[in-house]
Amino acid sequence: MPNLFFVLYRRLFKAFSGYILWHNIVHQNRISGDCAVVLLPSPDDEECARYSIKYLKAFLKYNPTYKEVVFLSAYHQLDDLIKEYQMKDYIRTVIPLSKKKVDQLINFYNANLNDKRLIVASLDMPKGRNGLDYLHTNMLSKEEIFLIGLYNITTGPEFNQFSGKKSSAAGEDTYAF
Amino acid sequence: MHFKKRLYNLLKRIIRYPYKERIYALMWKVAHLPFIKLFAYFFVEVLGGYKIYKKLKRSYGKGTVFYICPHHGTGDIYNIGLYFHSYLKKNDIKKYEFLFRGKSEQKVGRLFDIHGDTILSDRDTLRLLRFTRFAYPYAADIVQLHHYPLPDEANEHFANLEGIYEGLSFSTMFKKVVMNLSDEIEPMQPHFCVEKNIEDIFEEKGLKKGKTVILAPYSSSAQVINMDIWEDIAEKLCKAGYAVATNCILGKERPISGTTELAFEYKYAKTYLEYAGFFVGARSGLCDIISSTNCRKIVLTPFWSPTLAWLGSAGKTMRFYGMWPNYKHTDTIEVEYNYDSSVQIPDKVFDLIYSPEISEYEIHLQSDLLPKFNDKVAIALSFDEYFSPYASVTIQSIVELSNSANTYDIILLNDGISPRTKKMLESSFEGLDNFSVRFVDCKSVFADKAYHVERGYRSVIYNRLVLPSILRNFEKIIYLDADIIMNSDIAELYSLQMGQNLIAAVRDLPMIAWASDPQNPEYDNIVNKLKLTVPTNYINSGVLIFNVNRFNEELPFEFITTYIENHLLRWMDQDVFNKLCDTKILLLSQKYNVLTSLRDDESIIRSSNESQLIYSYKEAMGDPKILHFISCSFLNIDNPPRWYEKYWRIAKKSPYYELLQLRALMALRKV
Repeated sequence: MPNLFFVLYRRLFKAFSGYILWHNIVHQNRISGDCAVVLLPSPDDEECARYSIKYLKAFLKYNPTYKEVVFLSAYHQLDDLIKEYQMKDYIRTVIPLSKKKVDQLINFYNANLNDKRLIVASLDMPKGRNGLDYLHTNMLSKEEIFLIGLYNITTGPEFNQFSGKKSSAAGEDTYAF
Repeated sequence: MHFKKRLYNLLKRIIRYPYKERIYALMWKVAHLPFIKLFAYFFVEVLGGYKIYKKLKRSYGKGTVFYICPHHGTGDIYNIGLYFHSYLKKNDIKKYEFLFRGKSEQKVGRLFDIHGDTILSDRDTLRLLRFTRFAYPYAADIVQLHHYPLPDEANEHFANLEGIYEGLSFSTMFKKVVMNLSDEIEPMQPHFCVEKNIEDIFEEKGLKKGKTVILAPYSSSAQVINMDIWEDIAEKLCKAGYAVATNCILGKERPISGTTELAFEYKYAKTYLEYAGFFVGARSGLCDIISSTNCRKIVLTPFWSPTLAWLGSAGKTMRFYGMWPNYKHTDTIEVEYNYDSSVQIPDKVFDLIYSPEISEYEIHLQSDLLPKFNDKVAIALSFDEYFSPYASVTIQSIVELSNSANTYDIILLNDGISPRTKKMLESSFEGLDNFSVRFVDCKSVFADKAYHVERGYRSVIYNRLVLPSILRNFEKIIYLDADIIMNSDIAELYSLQMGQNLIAAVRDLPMIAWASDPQNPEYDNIVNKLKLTVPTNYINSGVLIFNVNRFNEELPFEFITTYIENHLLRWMDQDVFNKLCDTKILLLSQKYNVLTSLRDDESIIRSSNESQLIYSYKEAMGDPKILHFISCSFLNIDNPPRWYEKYWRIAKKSPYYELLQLRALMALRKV
């Protein structure tokens, strides 16, 4: 096992590179507070890429803080999915990223990035996210976990299409005081 | 924006502060620069966590796996304990150390023979887990045994999955999500010890075997029921011949009056409860620990409260943490209540204790605030004890200008006012059958939140944001500030058609006038920060009409609170309405919120780039329906604002007239 101390400092350097990358992305693309940035960190995760495009319209509808979306994508066939779901109007731009840059960005995220605009569209990245563990219950599919856990959609036809036996008041934003 | 211009604007903002505060403002700004935060995070949090990790490795040796439940809660440890040994066996773990969050958690761990001598503080836990995340996969021998691991930034909205489906309960999360155990694995039973002197203890305290009710009112996670409700329960049970004891920490928590103090350790809980016969407690970790004991247990679970320790929607406590979904013990009844229905608890508990059989395991005691009249329109005010005199004048003006043919359903949101104040406010409605007045204590709504307030405003101003959630059975709510008086019958607004708009309100003309000047701070706020689609539609939140259904659909309360937490708002709740309701505001005529203050609003508007607004202003001045004395300008009696005589004429009929006079005189002295 390598010396952990040096690993940490290497990661710090990567995190700092990630900061510079994030700063450039935000300022070059003039990303304001009402623009979400969806990061697709894995070049092989076709499912998450598909769900991120498929439910984009619903995401913007049920998260009204955001008016548009920028994609940072390590998945290189994203344009095909955008065409398939006809979501071009909701996406300001797609910025392709290499694996190295994604790694830097994730390291920056792990260093307490704390920017609510960034949504990492993956069920097991960054470290600490345990979306895939919910599959052990045999009650949820990846699509549901993505929709509910990442895109925060707990109401509407997109949520109701899933056949899981919903709890009596689940999906309703009602507050009795 | 160009870097130099941003720096210039930043310095301009800082220079506006008084001299001493400039340094703090600059330091605050520098400390929040992203790369400074990054390095601070690394050197403080990550390296701090690394230090703790090294110490653990040195203390416990190679090959030790460290388990930690990242959250406080004896209930969490109990659920871990049910399956922990099965989990260790499945993963062939021979050497481990459990890192506990507190002594209580450690004691619960002992019930399941989980050994761990280390107790980590909140700070150390977070640092260790931040280090683990940063160093992944190299510190993989730190394992979090929870479905919602820390730090929680990575979790996005996974908390939504809790309680969303039937069967996806708290216990299931530990068994399936965290430990990935199959359905066949049975939970382990906790090892309780026998208290050999139980008979002597009960006799000494005057308690009866089989006819004692142990009350457990204290809960760190769900403290919602008032003490007087517990006292009511105790009184009823005592009258019926039961002995009543309060489970409380000696010296720290007081027993409910009329009951005996009874403290016991978790390991003896089974002995005490089975000897007593009955348990009534607020939902807490103790309820999980005693879930397997043989006695009748009644657990009181809040439907929703913003002070609950867990995130989520209404009803989640029972759906996800409920006794039946998790443990299915047939001697446990769970009673779900909300604020209004909590008064029903004493009678219900008494019936459940007294009845020989249990017919249902989950009981829902809920009462929503329903409209009193057919028009389903509520008139709401929000104030605290200090503002009660001003609210009484507002209320008096509504009564004065009311029409006996109309009905008025008045809801008074408050921050916990005294019974005397309530009586004084109610006195304005004596003998009036077409009026209904109800008080709703909103103190707990924002109790655990420290929202930004400035310029003398009080946190009670945020209460209006919760109105559509709690009055969801109404079609419309007309909200008025407590420094407003009516100059016409408020029922004029009942028939307003809201369409798809979320709220109706009146534009704030002086604010719009200021915002037309790029040198003015309001320009920066409205144009640059809020980025309203039409800046000249900026509204004043002193008079609002809510389209309740539409508002609740688009802006659930949790969303609003998240928005407030993530933004520093110059005009607080007013900016929230302007931003979140942008383009969905029905603009009312200016006469429904005529701002009257010590400013010369007419000059402000005339001299601005929006001077055409003067026509709207003049029209409103000619026929004001609602007068809004912003910043309580009516108190300024030596340089009074316009229409102050109307205010004081109504104030004379208020029970607070003398107090209002006194406050006006005190305001004079300060000047």
